[in-house]
Amino acid sequence: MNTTISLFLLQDGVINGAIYALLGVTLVLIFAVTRVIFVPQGELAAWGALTLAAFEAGHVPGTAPLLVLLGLCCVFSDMLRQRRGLNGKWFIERGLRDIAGPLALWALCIWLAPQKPALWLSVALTVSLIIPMGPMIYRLAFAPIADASVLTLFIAAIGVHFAFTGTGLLFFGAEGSRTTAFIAGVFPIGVLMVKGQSLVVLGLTIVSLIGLYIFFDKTLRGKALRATAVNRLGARLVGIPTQSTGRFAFALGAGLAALSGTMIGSLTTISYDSGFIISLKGFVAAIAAGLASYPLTVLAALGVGILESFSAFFASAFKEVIVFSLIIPMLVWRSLVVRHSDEEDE
Amino acid sequence: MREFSSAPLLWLGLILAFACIPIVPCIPAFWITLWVYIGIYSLVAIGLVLLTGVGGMTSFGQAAFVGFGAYTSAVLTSRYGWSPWATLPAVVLTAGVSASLLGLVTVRLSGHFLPLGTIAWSISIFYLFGNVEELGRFDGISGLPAFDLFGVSLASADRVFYLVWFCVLLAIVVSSNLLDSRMGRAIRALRGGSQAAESFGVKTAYAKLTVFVYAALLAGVAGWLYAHVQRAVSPSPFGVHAGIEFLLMAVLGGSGYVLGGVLGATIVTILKDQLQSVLPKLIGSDGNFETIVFGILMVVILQVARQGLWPMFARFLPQPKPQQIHKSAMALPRRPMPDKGRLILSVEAARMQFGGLVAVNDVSFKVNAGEIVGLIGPNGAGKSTTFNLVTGVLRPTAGSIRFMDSQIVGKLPREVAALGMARTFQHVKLAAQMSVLENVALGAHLRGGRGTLSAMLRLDRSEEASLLREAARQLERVGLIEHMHKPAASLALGQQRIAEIARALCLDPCLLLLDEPAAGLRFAEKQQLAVLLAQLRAEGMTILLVEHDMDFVMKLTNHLVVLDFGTKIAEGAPDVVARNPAVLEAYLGGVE
Amino acid sequence: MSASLLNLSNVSAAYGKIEAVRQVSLEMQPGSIVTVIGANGAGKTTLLNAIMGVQPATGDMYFAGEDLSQMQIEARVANGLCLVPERRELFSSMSVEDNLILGAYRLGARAIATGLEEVFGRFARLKERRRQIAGTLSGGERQMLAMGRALMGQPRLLMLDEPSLGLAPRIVKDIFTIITDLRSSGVSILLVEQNARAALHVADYAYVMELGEITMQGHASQLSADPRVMESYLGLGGHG
Repeated sequence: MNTTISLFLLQDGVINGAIYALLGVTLVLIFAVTRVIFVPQGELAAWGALTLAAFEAGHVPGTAPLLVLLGLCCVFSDMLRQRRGLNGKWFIERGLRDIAGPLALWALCIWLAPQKPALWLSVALTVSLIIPMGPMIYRLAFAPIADASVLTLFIAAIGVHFAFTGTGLLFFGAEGSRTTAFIAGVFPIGVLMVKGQSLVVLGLTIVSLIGLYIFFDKTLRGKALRATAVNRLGARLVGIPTQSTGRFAFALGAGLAALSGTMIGSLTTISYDSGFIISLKGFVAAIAAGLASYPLTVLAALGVGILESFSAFFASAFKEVIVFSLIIPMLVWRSLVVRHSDEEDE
Repeated sequence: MREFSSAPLLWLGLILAFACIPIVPCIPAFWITLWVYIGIYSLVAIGLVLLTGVGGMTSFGQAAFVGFGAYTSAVLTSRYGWSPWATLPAVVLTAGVSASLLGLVTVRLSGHFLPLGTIAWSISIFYLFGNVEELGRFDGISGLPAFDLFGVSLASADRVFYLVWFCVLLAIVVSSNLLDSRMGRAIRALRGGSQAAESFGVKTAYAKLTVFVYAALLAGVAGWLYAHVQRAVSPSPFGVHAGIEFLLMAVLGGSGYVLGGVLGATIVTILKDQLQSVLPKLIGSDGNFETIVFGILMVVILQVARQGLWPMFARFLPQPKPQQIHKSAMALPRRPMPDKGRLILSVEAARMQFGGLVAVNDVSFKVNAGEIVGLIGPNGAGKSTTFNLVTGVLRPTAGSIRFMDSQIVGKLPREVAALGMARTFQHVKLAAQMSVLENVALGAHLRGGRGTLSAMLRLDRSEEASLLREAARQLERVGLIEHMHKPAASLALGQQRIAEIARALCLDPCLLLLDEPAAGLRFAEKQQLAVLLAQLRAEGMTILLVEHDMDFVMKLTNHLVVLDFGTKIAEGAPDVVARNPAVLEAYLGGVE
Repeated sequence: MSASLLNLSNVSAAYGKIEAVRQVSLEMQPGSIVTVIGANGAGKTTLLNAIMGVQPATGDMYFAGEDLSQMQIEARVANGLCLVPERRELFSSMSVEDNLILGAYRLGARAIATGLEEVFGRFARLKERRRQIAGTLSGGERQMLAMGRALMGQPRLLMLDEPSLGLAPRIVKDIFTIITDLRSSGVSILLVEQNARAALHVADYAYVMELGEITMQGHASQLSADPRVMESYLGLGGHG
């Protein structure tokens, strides 16, 4: 193995690592605010890639009708739970937000898709189709058990992941897709040939991370999110509505997942079931950082990406075996460092 | 076997009726095949019930152990020409060894890290199956032999049905036996947190590993059956998604009940089969659309019925008989009690620092046999921390603590317990769903020695009878005997505290440590408690209690140690201490 | 009746099977300090949690004429109820100033600016330490921060759960001075204390709670002269 190959592998690793970083940071964010380990994030990322691919092919993406379906589910489950206080106003409000909004987006897609919209417009449409899914999933699956243990929430997250795998197959079919690069071409930097897409991925990731930093450190809303993460009861006592904070965290998470999805699409072929493995790699990073530290998550994600690209070169068949076996020592280490409360719940 | 003891004829009838399924002429062969698979999955689900529902460890990785079992037998039969029967020991060995190795790491993971860990290794193992040349990569191994019995082939479903369900029945019996034993109590106590179990001498890590390996063995046997029913193996049925389905079975059926596992496996398997034939027609294309329904089902079950479906089902079945107390059971040997007045606990300059905060500041005191010593002070004075130092929960930063002539600094709570120190907890730590009797019997854990295997085979009955008799004796001593068969959670708080004292007495201690025993008790309950403690003292018991209620300790104790801000500010007879100006200041604050 | 600020009748609250608060009725007038005293485990904290909505409860609860029973915590906060819990529940990894800002989360930027000024005026220590991380404060400073954060929300009723808990006597004195100051600036206070002597000293009206029930009530001065209260809660008589 010579320097060029190592540099090439390193480049590959950093690019994949950047995507894992974005996913890992999102996981940390959602976990901190809602205590949900958001496994289905991978599916949202895969749907991002598939939606963008659909726009490129001039089709209406499956996510558009899916969003309408999710909206209907939300209204229906709210009706079951609420019973009292159901009146015309309630239906109009929910109908507008959960059904009419998604329907409008669907109509927009039907109108725009055959015209093969410009890249920026496709990406914007993709992200806006997937963002509302975050809070909808939160309302459907997690809000009713928001006070349950991390473990229960985790099993529920696995349930959502399971449901999403089938849903993805239903709305996108089994075929994999690939999108074109945001920036085509290759730029020589020193001995290295850097792909345009690599620069886009790196750039967007850095911009997103800086954006998140500013949001959390400078804005009242961001501070409220952090406060909810630090002390849920304390947050409720000062009047921060933790349910809407949870929805907001899920929206942010869905948005970032969709964005990463649009970037992965040109790096590798994505199909309805690719998301799980990708998001689990984000996990490895998030867990290495104790589901707590954003900068450490980013570093660990880069590490995972690089490890993956080197092990793909040396033992391609065992790439996944190596990456996932790596979590175990990390989990052991975290278990020793973090003092869990002794009380396990019933 | 207690589950079946109350109506043996009913159960026998049910089993016989079930055994007729393959010979009833109008049942299509297809349904018999389905029941064969239900049996195989039931084995996995039963293991998962013990692991997740009883032991509190959620595993998404059980499918990997099914894979280990299936691949072991597949390789040995297809490549080396073994008979399927001959591979069983190898299957057990492979599943057992792999589970021991994975388990050593996994049971050390805490909280949600544990299920994450199981996902990680199950993905690794899936890719391992799929990439190893010898295992046929992702194509797997096919053309495996079927079971045969004395020359009769069990290739058809209506014959292998009996083999599979014989295994299930065996698993149900053995699992129920295990739960109804000394080790079973230790395993069941894990869910309530490991601290209480550890302080009565249970090696919780070992107990966890035991369930983990047992669950894996059941999964391995399921894999062995699967390989020779399916006659082929490939990686995909052993991936993490299969693991999630197994967990769904356990959660849906009711993860705390052995038969809940069978119920869950039945529902999920039938549902999957139905959905796989209906959904593609409905949707118009092929694919595993049943995952949509399963995923939703999982979320809904967590939202509306966290106990699973078995409790609703069990209402229609006869309730198991409560445990019998055999008066004739041999009494457990007792440890010699120290002579009255002898020094049994001496704390010297014990210091505990958390970062910059000194929680216990060079505190010294002594406890002599036959007295009740009170450790008092306002909230935040360092009483609980001192208590944790003495019981071995915390290791002091400096100082010495000697109990019964042994240095206990650096010893684990269970090692301190073995020396004859038993404790109660400020926040009651009883296993909520376990009966009062069994909670109390956990206290006698160190006075028995029978392990997992003898429990499964029912060789532990005489020791078990002695342990239960001892528990009943202690319940009688504290006056809770009429409540012994109720679940612990159904007792009032005061009674729960008393039950904790009975559990502590079961250890046959020479020193009893009580952490705020009177907190939250009504006046009459406090008086009863005081009478009980005085009676124990009269019987020669030594007691150290941490208490907030001044009135309670004043009347009861021989000696008081007063802490404030981590420092001992006074010590002596109660009436002397009560007049100490520093004590008054600490208790009443300086506001006038 | 209609003039009362807080009106509870037959309020009960339970943890599982254990009923920690039983049939409690309590009333308080605007601008007053009312204290609930009692031993450890008497149900005082549960009562405050029930009023705040942290703990589910049955019975009638009215605050300034509004029915609280169907309100979430957030709505109760918006109505002017505020609880400073026993464990303070600060945002420990955030700065003192951020903690205070979040206290006025629902009120907007202008209220934050004026609120900060007022709180810093009242608690000079907090101003000195505004950039410090809340988790590194001393016990007394943490209590001040918890009270400051509560005041940022401009409450009509401030509920304090064991504000003197774990504090040195000198700091306890400061805290009680602040409590009386707050009343003179128009905040009503419901005070739960084990330090009965100090609580009765500042309160207008007092309730004694035992085993989840109200067993005595009366004007604070009256109760502190009651022999039963003296013996059980003021440490006078009995063993002396």
